[in-house]
Order: sequence, then C-alpha cells, then structure tokens
Amino acid sequence: MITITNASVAYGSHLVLRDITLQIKPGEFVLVTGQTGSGKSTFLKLLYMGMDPVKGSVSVGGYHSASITTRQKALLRRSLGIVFQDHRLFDDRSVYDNVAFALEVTGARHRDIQRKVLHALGDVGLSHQRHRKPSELSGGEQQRVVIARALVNSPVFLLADEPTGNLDPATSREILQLLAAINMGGMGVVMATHNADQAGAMRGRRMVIEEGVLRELPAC
Amino acid sequence: MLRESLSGFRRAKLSSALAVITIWIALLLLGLFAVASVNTQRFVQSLRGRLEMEAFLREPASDEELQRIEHAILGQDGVDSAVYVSKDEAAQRFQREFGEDIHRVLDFNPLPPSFKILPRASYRNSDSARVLHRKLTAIAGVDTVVYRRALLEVIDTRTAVVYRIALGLGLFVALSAVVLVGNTIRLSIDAKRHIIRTMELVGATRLFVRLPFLIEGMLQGLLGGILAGFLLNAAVEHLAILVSPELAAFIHMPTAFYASVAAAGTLLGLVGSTLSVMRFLRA
Repeated sequence: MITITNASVAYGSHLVLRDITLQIKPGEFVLVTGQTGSGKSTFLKLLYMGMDPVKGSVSVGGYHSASITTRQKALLRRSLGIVFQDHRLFDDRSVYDNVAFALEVTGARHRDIQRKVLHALGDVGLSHQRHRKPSELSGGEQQRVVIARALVNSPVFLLADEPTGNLDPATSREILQLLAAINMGGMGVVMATHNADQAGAMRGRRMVIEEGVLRELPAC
Repeated sequence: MLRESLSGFRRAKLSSALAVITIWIALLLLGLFAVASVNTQRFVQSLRGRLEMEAFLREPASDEELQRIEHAILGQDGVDSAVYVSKDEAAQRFQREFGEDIHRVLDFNPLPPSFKILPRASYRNSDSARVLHRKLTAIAGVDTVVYRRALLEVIDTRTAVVYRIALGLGLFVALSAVVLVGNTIRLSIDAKRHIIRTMELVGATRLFVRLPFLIEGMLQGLLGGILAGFLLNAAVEHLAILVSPELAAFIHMPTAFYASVAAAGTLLGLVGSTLSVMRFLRA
C-alpha cells in the first residue's frame, strides 16, 4: 500500500508538488500525466523515497518518509521495480548480467539469480537475446530489459517513468501492453507519461499534475 | 564485488596505475627510512653496548677497601657488572695498547688500580650516564671515573635529529600517498556515478555500493606494497653489497618487515579510499 498525506516537495525554494494526498492499493494501475517539467518524475521519486517531502508524509509498504533509514531505503527499493526513460543499462554487460545485477546487489545466491533472471527475461520475451549487449538491441528491446530488471525482484509495485518516451508508436504500444499484462498478473503499476492520449488508451486510475497539484481524472 | 572492484582498474587505468606507483614510491621511501632507521639504531645500540666506565681508585687500597668499593659499585642502580683491574693488569694492558713496558719507561708503575664497569642498557645514554658517573665518583676510595661522554652526547643528539627528519619525511610521503589514492578513487567514483545511482535505485545497500571502491583502494595499496617490498628486499639483500661488503654484512631486515610493507600499502590504500568514499559518496 502507498499512502501519501498532504505531501509537498521542493527543489530549494521552488515548490514542485503541493499537498498531495493519495492512496494506491497493491494491484492498481495508476497513470500520472502532465506536461514535461510538471513534476511527474518527482512524484515517482517521492514513492521510492529518492526525495523527502518538505511537508506531509509518504508511507510505502510500511516504510515512512519521516523515519526511514538509508538501509531501509535499500530494502524498500527492492520491493519496487523502477523503469527509467533513459534505461540506465550497462553497455559493458550482457542483457542477462544487466538483469542479474538487480539481484546481485541484494546478495542473492547464484542459483536463485539464474532462475529468476531467466524467468524475468521470459516474461518480457527476451530469453533468446540474453547473451547480447544492450547496444545491440533496439530501443523497445532495451526497454524490455529494463522492465525485466525491474521485475526480477518480484516487486509489489512497478514504477515506470516515461517508459515509452524514446520509442516509436508501435513499440510504445508493445511496451504498454507488456505493462498492462504485468498488472493483470497482480503487480501494481504507477506509470508517469506526458502523453495524455497514450494514458487515455490505458485502463486504470488516471491522474494529472498541473502547477504542482495532483488531480484524479474521472474514470473512462 | 571483486569484479566491480577490478573494473575500477580497467575503467581508470591511468589513475589506477598512478595510485599504485605513488604507493610504491611512498612505501619504497618509507621502507628505506625504516631500513636506515632500524640499522642505524642497531649500529647505535652496538656503540652504546661498548660503553664502559672506568673508576680509578685512590692508592693504596687494602683488600677490605677493595671489597667495600666493589660492593658499593655493584650496589648502584645503573651498574650491570664490574671487573677489578689491578695495577699489574693495568700495566699489562698499557703494554698491549702502547707496546711499551711502563716499568722500563718510568721505573715504577703509576697506573692506579680500577674497576671496569659495564652500565645497564637503560643507562647507556648521556643523561643517565652522567647521573651514574656522579654516583660512582661519590664512592669513598674512588678517585676519578672516566667514560666516553662526548661520544655518547653526539650519538644522542644526532640520532634524535635523524629520527625526527626521517619521521617527518615518512609521514609527508605517506600523507601524499593517501591523498593520491583518495584522488584516484574519486575519479573512479566519478566514472561510475551512473552505476552507483542505478545500484541505489535497485536496492543496493550503502555497504554494497561502497565496498568495491574500498577493495579497489586496498588492491592498489597491496600492489604498490608488494612492489615496494620486492624492491626493498632486492636493495637490502643484493644491492647493498655493491656499495660495500661491510654494509651488506651489517644491514639486515627480518622477513616480516617485507610483509609489513605490503600490509602498510594495503592500509594506505584503505585509508585513502575510505576518506574518498566518505567524502564523495555521502549522499
């Protein structure tokens, strides 16, 4: 469960998000839209405790923004899969090693890593590409690797920041279908996108950030 | 973890090589200081070990008086042993040292009987020797006490200066090594910012993020330390003979010393990388 209560976030003296109050239940699909620079990425940072609210509080999976320690932040992030627009893949490692990395940092055993990585790559349809380097893959395939890396820890929520930002419409549709399928499997998804049309085509709770204020849009 | 640490070497070859070379040179200099200090100290100790005092007695001295004086000398805190030298023995010694029979030169033996005194090790410095000298001179029946006071004072003052200079230079070089290792690790951290951020976002603990950099620093230090150890060993065991066979015969360092050079390198690397990680990975 994610609970945000009257949270405000600022960069220096500039308030980016104001008085956000929201609850997201496990298994929900939440789409957050807004113009570039509206605070969507900051909103996601708030969820994985990459930023502390200057006012109010955030509670994710039992961890509270007011009291969370550095070690607890690491544990929290293992229960959240994060998908970045810029992929953040390591070009000097294979697809397999990139996905395995998310488990290696948790100190998982080699045998478990092998099993979970192959499973996650299977889920995103990239088992056959596991020995290749990310630079040898298309943009859509690279994004699938990022999703596999986010899934490999079996998180409760998947946080996706502009997951289709750099992709062509057809590949974007594939990625969105993949995220929908993941959500159908029971995992909560919080996706930030500037593309309102894209968000409109998806099923789930839709929200918009305008002038720092998060507003829930009526269901389609 | 080790792969991450070794990747630091690959990614920043030049700065890693620079750190290894710096530690190598720093430890080589420190090691040479240590070799010089240890062997100078051995030499100084051997000089101090030869320190004797000689208490010349007033004449004539009866057997009872000799016993009393010997007892009084041995009763002094700083005296290790004392050997009586009779007038005849003194004459024999004169003949050995000067090649002349004192009786033939002067028709009589003017050499007084004496006690050759070996001070305890803790009294073989100028301050304590002066105290012991005063106590021995105060014993009734003792005329004068002589020892190589000037030599002892020179040893004390010169060695203190040499040790201070060696220590200062050693610390300066060690500090430079720590700063350079720290800088190398900073470059390595900069080169890996992207990986570090990703590590944090996928749930790596602080220790997991930091440990590869600490290991990298330790490996750099270990490598520099091993190289310095080998070169010091070569210098002590093989190069000293080129300077002089006497030096080669005198100079000696235990095997543990070379292992400690490698350990010191590892420690320098760890300190440098820890400082850098603390400073540049605080967030």
